[in-house]
Amino acid sequence: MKAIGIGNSNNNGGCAGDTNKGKSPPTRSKLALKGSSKIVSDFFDYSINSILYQRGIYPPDDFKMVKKYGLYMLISTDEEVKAYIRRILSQLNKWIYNGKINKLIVAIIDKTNDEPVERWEFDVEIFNNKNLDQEMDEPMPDKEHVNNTNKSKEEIQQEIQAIIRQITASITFLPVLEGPHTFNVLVYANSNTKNIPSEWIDSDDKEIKNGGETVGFRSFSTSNHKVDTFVTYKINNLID
Amino acid sequence: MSYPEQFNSSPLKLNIFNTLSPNISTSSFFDNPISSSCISNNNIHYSNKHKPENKSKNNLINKNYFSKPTHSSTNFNIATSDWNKNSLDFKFLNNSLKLEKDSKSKSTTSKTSNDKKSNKNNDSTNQSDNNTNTQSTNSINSSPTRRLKKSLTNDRFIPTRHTSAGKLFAEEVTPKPTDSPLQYIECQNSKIYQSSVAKACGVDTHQRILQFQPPPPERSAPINLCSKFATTLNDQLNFTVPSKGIKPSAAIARIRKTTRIPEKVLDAPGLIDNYYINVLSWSKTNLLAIALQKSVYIWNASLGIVGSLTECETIVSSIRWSEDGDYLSIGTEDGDIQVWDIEASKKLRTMTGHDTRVGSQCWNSHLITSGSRNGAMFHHDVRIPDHIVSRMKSHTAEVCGIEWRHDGHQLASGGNDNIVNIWDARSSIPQFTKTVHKSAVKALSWSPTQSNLLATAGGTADRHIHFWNTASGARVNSIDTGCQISSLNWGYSDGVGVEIVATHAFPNSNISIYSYPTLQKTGEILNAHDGRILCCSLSPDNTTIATASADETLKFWKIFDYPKFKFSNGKSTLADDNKDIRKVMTLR
Repeated sequence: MKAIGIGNSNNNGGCAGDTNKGKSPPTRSKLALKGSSKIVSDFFDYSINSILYQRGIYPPDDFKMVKKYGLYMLISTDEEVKAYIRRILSQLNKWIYNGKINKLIVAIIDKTNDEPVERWEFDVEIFNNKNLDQEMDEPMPDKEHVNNTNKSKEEIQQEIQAIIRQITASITFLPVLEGPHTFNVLVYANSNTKNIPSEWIDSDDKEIKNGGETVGFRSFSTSNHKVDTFVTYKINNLID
Repeated sequence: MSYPEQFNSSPLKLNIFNTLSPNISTSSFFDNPISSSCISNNNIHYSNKHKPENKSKNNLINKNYFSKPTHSSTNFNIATSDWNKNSLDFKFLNNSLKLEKDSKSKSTTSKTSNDKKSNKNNDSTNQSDNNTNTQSTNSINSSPTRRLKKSLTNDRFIPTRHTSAGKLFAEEVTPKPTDSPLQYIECQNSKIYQSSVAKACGVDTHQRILQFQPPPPERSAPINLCSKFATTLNDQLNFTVPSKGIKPSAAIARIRKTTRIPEKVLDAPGLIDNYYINVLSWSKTNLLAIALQKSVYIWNASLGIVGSLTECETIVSSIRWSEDGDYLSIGTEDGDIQVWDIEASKKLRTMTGHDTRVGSQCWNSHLITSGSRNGAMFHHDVRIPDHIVSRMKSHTAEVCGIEWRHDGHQLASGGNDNIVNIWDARSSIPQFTKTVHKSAVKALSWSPTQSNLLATAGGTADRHIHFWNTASGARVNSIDTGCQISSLNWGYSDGVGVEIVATHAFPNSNISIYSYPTLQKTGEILNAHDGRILCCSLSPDNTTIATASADETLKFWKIFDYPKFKFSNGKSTLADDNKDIRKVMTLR
C-alpha cells in the first residue's frame, strides 16, 4: 500500500506542458473547486455507506437502495447513523475545499479487542491549490490537470462508478468479519489546519497489525482532486 | 529502534553527505550547530564502544557509494521504493518521492533514508543490497512505482503484503530515567536527526491524524423480525404488501369497484339446502358443475351451454373437478364416488368404501381424498382396483371440507366436530389438529401466494376466519366476520393486493372481501342472495366467483382483478395458462 501511496504523488509533479490552456479565471476555478469538493465528499458519503453495508457493520435491514452514479447504492436509513455520517461529511467538505486533508481513513474495528481489522484509505490529492502548497514554486498547470478540466461529468461519474463497483466486489476477497465490529473515521490533516472542531481529536493511525495486505482500487479525478482508494485488511494467519 | 543502530546511521550519513553530495552543504541539513556536534559525538562514541566490525562495513558501503558516483541519483530512487516496503513512516516516503522529481536536493534526502535502511538491515546484507539496487537501477530506472502498481491493480485485486520484518520504526526514542546524560544526548540526537531528515524532505512532520471522536451509533432500531418474511414475500408476490394498511384512496376505489349486481344469474332448481354438502365446482377448463338433487349438470361458461351429465340413484352430496379439469368425481348420499370422464361423458368407475354420504372431496393428481359423514377420510387412488390407499380417522363428525395444498404436500380438512386437521401427504396421522373454531369448519382455502398459509372459517357459533402457518401450526391471523361462513376463496385486486372472499350463510347472505394481511374489509356485497349461500367456486382466471344459494339460484360475481403475479391455486399455475383462460373466460 505504501508503495502505491508513494507513487501516487508522482502524478502531481512534473510534465509542465500545455501552458497555452493556462489558468481559467479565478472565479470559475473557485466554483470548480467547490463542485469538485462536493463530488469528492459525495463520493465519501456513498463509499462509507457502501462499506458499512458491505462489511455488515449495520444490518442490511437498515439500508435502502437509491440510484446514484448510475448504480443502485445502499444507504443507511438509521437516523442516528445518517446524522453521524452527515456530521463527518459536513466537516470533511470544508476541509477538502480548503485543501486541509490528504487522507480519509475508514477503519473497521473489532469491538471485542478494539483492534483495527480493516482500513479503507482514500487518498485525496489536490491539484494546483495555492492554499495547500505554498512551497510549490509556480502553479504549473501540468498535463494531468489540463486533461482533468476537460473531463466531463459523465466521465467522472464513470470513474466513481468503477470504484464503487470495486468496493462492492471487494467482499469477495476480504476476510469475513465475525463478531461485532464498529468503524472509525480518521483524516490526515495538515499541521496548519486551524479551528479543528472539538469532535475531531488526535489519534493513532489505526494501522493493521503486522502490516496486513493491501489492495488498490481504481482512482478518480476531478478538475481539482484526485482520489485513490485502497483497502488494507488483516491477514488470517490460520490460512497461512 | 535500539541505540546502537541509531548511532550507526550517524557516521554513515555524515560520510555520504560529504562525499556524494558535495553540492549540498551539510549546513543546510544541520544548520543547527548542536545537531552536528551531536552527531560527531555519536560517531566517536559509537566507534569507541560498539561493534567495530560494523564500522568497517559501513565504511565499505561508503566506499561502494564512492566508487560509483555516477549511479548515485538513480540508485537512491530505487532504494527508496524498495525501502518503502519496510516503511519507516508513510508520511516520510510519500513526500520524499514527491519532491525527488522536483529538485535534486530532495533526491539526496532520500539517500539518507536509504542509508538509514541499510544500517538498519545491518551488516553483511548491506553490500548486496546496494549492489542489487544499482543493478536494478538500469532496468527500471526512475519509473514511478505508482504507475506500475496501477496498471496491475486496475481491475484485478492484487494484494500487496506488508510484513513487519525489517520494518523501520521511526518511533520516539525516549531515554530511561536511569540513563546517563550522554544517553539523553543520544536520544535527543536521534530526534534531531529524524526531524532534520523530515525537514530536508519537506515532510510535514506535524501532520495530524484526526479521529472523529464520537463513537458510531449503536443500532438502536429494534430488530424487525418480520423483515425477512416480508422481503421474501415481496419477492414471491412481486408487489408490495400493504403491511401498514391500505391507502384510504385505494380502499375507496376498491369499494367503488365492488359490484352490486351479479354478472349473471342462473336458476338452480332443486338445489338441496344443506350446509354440509359441496355441490358446486368450476373447472380449469371453464366448466361449471352443479349437482341438483340426483342430477349433475355441466354449464359451459365459455359457450353458455348447459347439459346434464348424469342422474344418480341417490342424492349427490359432493362434486369436484380434477385439477386438469378432465375428470369429475361425484360423491353420493350412499357413500359411493363416481369418476366421470367429461370429454366422453362416460362414467369411468365407481369407488365404494364410505358407509355414509360423501360430503367433501378433493383431487390431488391421481388421488381423491374424500370425507364422509361419520368422519372417515380415505385416499382413493383412481388408477388401481383396490382404490383406498389410506384411511384417516381423526374427525369424529362429518367432514365438511377438504383441500389439498396446490403442491400436494399438505392436506387440510375441516369437520363438524369443530376441528381443523392439517395432514402431511405421506401420513395418516394429522400433522396439526386445531380446535380453535367453535363450530363446523366447512370453508378452507390455501393461499395462492404463500404455500404455508391456510385460511379456515367456521360456522354460526364461530364466525371467525383463522389463518394458519401450516409449517409451524401457528395461527397467524384472525378475522371476526360476524356471520356464518360457507366458503373462502383467495383473489387479487389492483391497488389492494391479495384478498380473501368469504360467503356468508347466516344470519345474512352477504359476501365479504378482506384484504390480506391487513385484514381490512375492502368490499361487501349485501344480501347477495335471498337464501343462505351454500357453495362457492372461483373461476379459473381468479376473477369471478359463482355462488349457489338456498334460493335455488346460481349467481356470478366479478369481484377480483386478474392477478398481476403468479397465482398458484389448483386451477391455474402458470401465467400463460391464465392468459389463455382469460381469453376463453367469458360468461354467456
